[in-house]
Amino acid sequence: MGEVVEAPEPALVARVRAGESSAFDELVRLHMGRVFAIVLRVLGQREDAEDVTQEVFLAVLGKLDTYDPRRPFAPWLYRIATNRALNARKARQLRRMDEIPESARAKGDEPDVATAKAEERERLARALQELPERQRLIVKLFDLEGFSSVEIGSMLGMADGTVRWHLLKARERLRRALAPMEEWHR
Amino acid sequence: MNMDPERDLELAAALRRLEGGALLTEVEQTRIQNAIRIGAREALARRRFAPRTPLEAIGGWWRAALPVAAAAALMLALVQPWHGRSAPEQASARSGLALVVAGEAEEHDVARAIVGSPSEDLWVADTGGNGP
Repeated sequence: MGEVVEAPEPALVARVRAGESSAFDELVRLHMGRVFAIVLRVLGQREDAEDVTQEVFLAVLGKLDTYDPRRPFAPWLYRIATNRALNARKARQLRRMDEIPESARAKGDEPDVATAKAEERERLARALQELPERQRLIVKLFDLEGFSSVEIGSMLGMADGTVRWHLLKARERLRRALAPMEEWHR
Repeated sequence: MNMDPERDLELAAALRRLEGGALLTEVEQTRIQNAIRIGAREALARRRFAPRTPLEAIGGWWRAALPVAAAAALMLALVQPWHGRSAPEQASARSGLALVVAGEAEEHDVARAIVGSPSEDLWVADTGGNGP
């Protein structure tokens, strides 16, 4: 997922600006997956991420006249997606984020094995929640979604070097929480 | 130059187990795309009918105003009584015309506003006739 989607975007964006529905469909189709991934990693819930993904594309349509076609489209779009998701997270005060996601619960194991796994996953989830919001997002976008530090820096409005520093800090803390879990998986 | 560290695959796998994947299912994709399509309909229509240049933007107004402006210019040309006169004469004629427009003019003022002062015309004729 790390590579940037290459597309004849200036022409596509020009057609969307002229109100061409099929061009807008194409633009959505090209970027929907990555926008959804960003929003999901901020919000943690698929239903909320779906709603915000829709909002992002509608906001993009409204803001299209402020986009400079000489610059690449994707970073501009991803920045809007990140800001929208962070705002949505604040506005909705997603308490569900603090719960352990359903996917984290162990399935199909013996009761004691399942309990041990669940405990360890809970530890990772807690460590993740204890990370500063930016570090949490950076580690998810980098290690989980494959975005580069430059891309993440452009989304969050920070230098790529700062992104890498946050990434290393986040990894250290998660690794500590993960250590007993890794032993279990060996 | 790419200065990014290697991806931490173990951490990525642990996070994926915890948080689930971010790939959209076909059903989710269709649902999102349909919702966006519906939401964007009005904005796209506005873009289709919006003027694209400033000239286009004033085009409609300009087309309506053009005959009115032409008629006004014609009227001005027809009623302009001071054309070709000296500045003091123009001022005098303008003040007479102002009285006529205001409805405060006497009959001779109306005539004067339109054709100018007869004595002045005579004076012009006299001096013209007897001049060097």
